[in-house]
Amino acid sequence: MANEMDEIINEFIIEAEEILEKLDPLFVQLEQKGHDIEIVNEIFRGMHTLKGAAGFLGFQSIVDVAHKAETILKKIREGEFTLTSKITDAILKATDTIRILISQIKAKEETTEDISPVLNLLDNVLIEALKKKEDFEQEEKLPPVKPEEEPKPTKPEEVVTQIPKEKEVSTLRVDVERIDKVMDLAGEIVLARNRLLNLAHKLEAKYTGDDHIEGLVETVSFLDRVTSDLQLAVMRMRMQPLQKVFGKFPRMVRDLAKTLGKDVDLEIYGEDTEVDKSVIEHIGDPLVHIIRNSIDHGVEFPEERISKGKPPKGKIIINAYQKGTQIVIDVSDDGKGIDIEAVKAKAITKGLITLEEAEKMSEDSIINLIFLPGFSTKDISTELSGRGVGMDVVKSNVAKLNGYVEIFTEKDKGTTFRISLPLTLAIIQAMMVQVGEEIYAIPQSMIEETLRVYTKEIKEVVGQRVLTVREKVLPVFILNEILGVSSNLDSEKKYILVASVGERRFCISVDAVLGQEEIVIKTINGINSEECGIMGATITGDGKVVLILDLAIISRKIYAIK
Amino acid sequence: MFNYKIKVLVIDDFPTMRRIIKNLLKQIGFENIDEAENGEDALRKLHSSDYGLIVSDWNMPVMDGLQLLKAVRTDPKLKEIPFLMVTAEAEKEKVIEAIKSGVDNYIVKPFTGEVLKEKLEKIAQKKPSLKGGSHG
Repeated sequence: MANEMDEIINEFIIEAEEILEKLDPLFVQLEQKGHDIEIVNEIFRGMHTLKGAAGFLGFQSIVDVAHKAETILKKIREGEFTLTSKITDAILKATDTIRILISQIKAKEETTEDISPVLNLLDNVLIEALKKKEDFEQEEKLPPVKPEEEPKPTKPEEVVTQIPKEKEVSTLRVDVERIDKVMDLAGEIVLARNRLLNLAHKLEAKYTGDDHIEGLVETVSFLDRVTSDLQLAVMRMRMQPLQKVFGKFPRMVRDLAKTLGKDVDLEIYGEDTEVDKSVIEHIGDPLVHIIRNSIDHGVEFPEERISKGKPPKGKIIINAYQKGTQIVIDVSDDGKGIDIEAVKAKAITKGLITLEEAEKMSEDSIINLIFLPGFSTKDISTELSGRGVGMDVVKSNVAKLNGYVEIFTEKDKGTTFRISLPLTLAIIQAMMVQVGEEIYAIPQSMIEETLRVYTKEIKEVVGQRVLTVREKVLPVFILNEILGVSSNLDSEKKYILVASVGERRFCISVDAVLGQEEIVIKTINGINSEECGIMGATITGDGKVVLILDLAIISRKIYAIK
Repeated sequence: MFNYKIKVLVIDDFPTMRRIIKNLLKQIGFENIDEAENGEDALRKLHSSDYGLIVSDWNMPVMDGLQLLKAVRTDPKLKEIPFLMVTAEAEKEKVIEAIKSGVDNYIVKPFTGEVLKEKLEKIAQKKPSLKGGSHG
């Protein structure tokens, strides 16, 4: 029985956390929309559910806190008084307390959290609201519901007996470890499949017309398709909507703006976009940091905004969407934009760059200086965006997910931080290229097209090789030079990969393009991928270990040199 | 003392609660327990199989316990099924409304297996279908 009880408690913890996660954004919605009975109901139900289950499991502190919050919500629901920001604060405090209590249960600690302050707070808020209501009633009586709202049509009783259409929602909770194991095995199958494809093609070339070989090739190509499907299916299992991360932002923005004396609206789009579970787990911190930064440094104070002819209320927009094989998350504010001169000056005084370097740098590379460790435009990092860590954490965390961050900023118009992430982290489409004797893999997602051009088409303009591709002049970099590998081919034709990393487009010249392959990324321990521009290694169809190049890092390096 | 072979339907929108109630019912001795997450879901299940007892939460989204109770009591096929309503706190008006709508009994959260058993015994006095065989 003890085991059953443990299981029930574990289930309660998971589900209670889910409920709490859903509550925060509801409060913010409520504050924005005013008195919306549906939302009040939903919050009430959440508290009610928590209280009910906690009562059974003997978590009295949770019952007490949830009960007080529920009482207030019930009065609001019944229209006795309306929600004020003071009440919202008190109930938010209650959810925070419950969250702490649940985390203590989770850690199998005694629930020692002193709940009397929050209980008192809730009591006071209730008393005050009731008192206000009395005063108010003496003056005049107003309907609590906003008048412009359409009255909800009441459901006729017969509707109730109608049997809704069959829609079985069948979900299964599975341990992540098990899914990861399947993911791992699927990765191994991909490698074996690649190797089989390779062997089958060789055999086909050797024994053309042989019945067995034809059967083999047929079977292998079937396996090829099934493996791709399997891979996709496993990937799907790990996908979760970004809602899980975005859910906590409305509350955060609200609290933060309030503390700073700023007025900020948050709009979120694309929270249904699904990403890999590991992205969900690791993208939260960088986003929090960017949003904090936008509120703290981006959005101006109301007076300043008015003097600039902007609406006093600032706006932050989070937009997530899929773009090809990438997931893009934009965080935009309509604040003052990044002051390039200030960044430059700061970087020089901090000794991050020299005066000479600063003069040669493009605006883009100057803005990107804010990602350097130890950079912070405010002298005393505020408690909010500072916390002792800078934007470098954003960059390194995103880089861990094989993604990259870009900044678009315009004075007094605002700033957009764009995070681009690969759709899947484990298996990618890659272009296999040859440089000298070496073979490298380059993620397909960064390559727009491959060309074969005459060497003489590559021109040199002020020390920079360029190539005209579809009427656009693009810089050309020779991969051999970047990697320090000697080229054994000096033919009259060159293979060119047209790469696009964020807003940057450039050409990379290689000795040969060997073809496309699905590869499984295996991380290499003990190397600094930021230093060497290598994101990992893979085993190819013919059994060789091949390094995977990270064009994002390489492009940053070559542009910095330039 | 009960007919333990009957199918019981536990309705609550919160999975943990369903599990807790299911567990208590199992401890009493019931063997066949199904779950539904709201009134609508419950009605569908009630129509697709024969149930001998309904234990339903009150406050649920989509269709709450009272709506379910009314639907069950006005359905000729379902109206005899014993119905136990689970409420969070004893609210007089609400309970009266439930009794008027034909609830067999109500139970206030949180409750122990003992209390649940007592309530079911009271229901069994009125509804013999819930009672066990001759030696029960």
